[in-house]
Amino acid sequence: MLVLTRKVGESIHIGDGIVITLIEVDSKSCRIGIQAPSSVPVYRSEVYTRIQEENRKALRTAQPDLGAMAQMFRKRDDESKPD
Amino acid sequence: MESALSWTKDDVITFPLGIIGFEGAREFVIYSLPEHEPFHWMACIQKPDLQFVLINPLLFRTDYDPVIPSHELKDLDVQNPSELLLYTIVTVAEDMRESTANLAGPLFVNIRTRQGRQIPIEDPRWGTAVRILG
Repeated sequence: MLVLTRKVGESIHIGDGIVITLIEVDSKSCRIGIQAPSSVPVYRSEVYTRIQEENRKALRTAQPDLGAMAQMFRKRDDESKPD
Repeated sequence: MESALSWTKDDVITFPLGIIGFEGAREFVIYSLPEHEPFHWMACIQKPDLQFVLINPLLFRTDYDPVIPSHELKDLDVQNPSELLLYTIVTVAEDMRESTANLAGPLFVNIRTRQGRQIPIEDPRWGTAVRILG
């Protein structure tokens, strides 16, 4: 991993169109500004990872007897709706 | 089932950024079978094995209110709220009553432009595995 030292207000250019700026620092965290084209999605890693894991899990089980589940859903819907 | 699926160019929904974790998969067809309602299927055109089950989360969580970041709305080119469709990906559990939907990563589809995005929602109320059948 490339490690660079930056002062508050300084930036890093990545390729053509991505700019990372150090906005604010305290003892435990820092605020980072990110400029990127819309074709480059930017997510917090933990959010990205959680969604990625769930997507993979969903895919592995994507050949179920959906008819049975649909029936359960409709039955539940008919019987009682919370609220 | 995949082999019976017929679609035309107009049915294709493009996810320019792919689905998170499957960034290479960009073109999908969303379809439903009467016996599977209210669930839908979303199949990747290039990789037919890549199929997800979808549901509109408002059918089981009427309080679902994800806030879409404004730059995402801009990228989706939404001119009118009615052109935006909302789906969530379903993880079907072995015991189907325990099946969940990913409310932290809903799919938004602009039916006018036929473009979609999976948009992470950073709201602790909406997790990746929310029970569908109470």
